[in-house]
Amino acid sequence: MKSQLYTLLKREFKSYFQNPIGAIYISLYVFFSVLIAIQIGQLIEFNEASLYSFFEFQPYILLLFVPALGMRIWSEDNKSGTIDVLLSLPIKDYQLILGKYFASLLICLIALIACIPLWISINFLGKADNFIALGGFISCLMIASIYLVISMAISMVTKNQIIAYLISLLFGFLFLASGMPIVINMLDGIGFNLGNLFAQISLLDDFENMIIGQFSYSAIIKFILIIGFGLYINFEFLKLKRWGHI
Amino acid sequence: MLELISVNISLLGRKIIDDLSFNAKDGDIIGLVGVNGAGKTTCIRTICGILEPQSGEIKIAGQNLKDNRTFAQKQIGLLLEGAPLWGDMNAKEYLEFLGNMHALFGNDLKKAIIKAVEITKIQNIFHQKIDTLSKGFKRRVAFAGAILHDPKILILDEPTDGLDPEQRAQALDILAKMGKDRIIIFSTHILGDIGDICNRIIVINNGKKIADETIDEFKKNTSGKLENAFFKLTGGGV
Repeated sequence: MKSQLYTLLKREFKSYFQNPIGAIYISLYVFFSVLIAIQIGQLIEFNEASLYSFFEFQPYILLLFVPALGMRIWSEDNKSGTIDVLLSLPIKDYQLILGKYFASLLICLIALIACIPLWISINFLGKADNFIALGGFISCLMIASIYLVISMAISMVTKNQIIAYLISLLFGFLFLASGMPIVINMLDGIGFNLGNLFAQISLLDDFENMIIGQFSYSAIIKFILIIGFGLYINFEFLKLKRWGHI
Repeated sequence: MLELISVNISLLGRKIIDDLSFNAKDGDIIGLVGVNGAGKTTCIRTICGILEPQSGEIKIAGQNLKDNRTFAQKQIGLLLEGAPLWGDMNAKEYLEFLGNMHALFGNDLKKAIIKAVEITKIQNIFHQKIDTLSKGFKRRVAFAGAILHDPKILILDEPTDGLDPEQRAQALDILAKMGKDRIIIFSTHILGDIGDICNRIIVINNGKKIADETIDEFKKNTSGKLENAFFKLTGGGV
C-alpha cells in the first residue's frame, strides 16, 4: 500500500508543474549554470575534457536558486491556511517533512540532470574522467540538499516567501563564507580558535575537494549530518507550530 | 467517543482555552458558539490535532490524541473556516489526495469520492481548477473532503458563513442527515443555524465553557429565544 509520505511527495512534486514555475526554474538554472561555466569559468577556452569550470561556481549558483525553491515549501501553506489541512491529516510529522523535502530535492535532481548534455559534450572534447564528473553532480546535489533544509526551516516560520528567500540566502551564505580565507582570518583575530571552528563547518573546502575527485568519508558524513540536522530543525519547528509558538 | 478533559491552551502567552472539558457521543450535533475571539476555532484546531494542548487530555474512540494522533485524525473530518484548499488542484485531485492520506485507494477511494460528490453536488465542477471556483463551490469541495472517509466525528468551523440562503439550507439538511450516527461539532456565530439542526449547545466565552445544555434547556429560561439566552450568558446584546 502506498504511504502517506509518497502521496504527499507526489502532490508536492506535481504542484511545481501545475503552472510554469517548475519549468522556468529548471530552465533558468541550466541556462545560468552553463552560461557562467562558459563565460566566467572559460569552459571552452581551457580545452580540457573536464567539468571543473561548471562545478566550481555551483555553490554560489545553487545558493541563489535553491532558496527560491525552498522559500515556498511551508510559507505558501502558512499563507493560504492549507497548513491546517495538512496538520489535520493522519500523517506523522516526519513524513510531512520528508514528503515535502524529497519533492523539492527531486526538482533539484531534475535541474542537475538537465545539465547532463554538457557532460556528454565534454566527452566529445576528449577523454573525460566520468567518475569525477559523477562525483561532482553528487556533490552539487548534496550542497543543494543543505540549502534546501535551511530554506525549508525558514519558510516554516513565515508567510512571506521573499523574507524566507532572503534569510535562507543569508544562512546559506554563512555556511559558505565560513570557509573563505578572509573570514577565517577575521575570526582568528577574535580569538577562541573561532576561525578554525567555523572552517570545520564550512562546505566550501569539502566541495572543492570533491569536484576534483578527492572524496573523503569525513566530508560525506559531514554533509549527511548537516542535512540530518537541518531536517531535525524542521521537525522541531513543526512541533513548535503544533504548540502554537510559531 | 470524544472526550476533552481540562484542556488548556495558550498561544503567544495568551490563554485561549481555559480548563475546557466536555464529552460527546454518536448522535450529538453540538453547536459550539461564542463571540469572535472566544476560542471556538482554537478548540476545533486542538480537537483535530493541529494544535497540542499545554495540559489536559483529548480522547477519541478511547485513544489519547497525544499518544496516537494519526489514529485520532483518521476518525475526524474537518471543514476549516474559509475552507482553505490548494488552488492549483481540481476537485478530483483534491479528493484523491485526501483519500490517499486516509489510506483509501482503488475501488474504495472511487466509491468514497462518488458518494461525497453526490452528497455535496459538485459533479459539474469535478474537473475544474479550485482557483476558478466560486466561494460556495470551494466550500462544497472542502466539505466533500471532510466527509470523504466517512468520519465518526465531523467538525465544521463556520460552515454556513458566506453561503446564500439556498446553499445554507442544503448544507444544514446534509448535516442533519449525517448527524444521526456520528458526532458533529459545529462552530458558528449564527445562532439560527444552531436552532435548526443542533441538539446540544456549548457556549464558550474567553476560552471557558459557560454553558453545555440541550437546545431546549438552553432556551427554557429566556422566552424560547436562543439570542436572549446567548446574550444573557456572554453579557452581550443591543
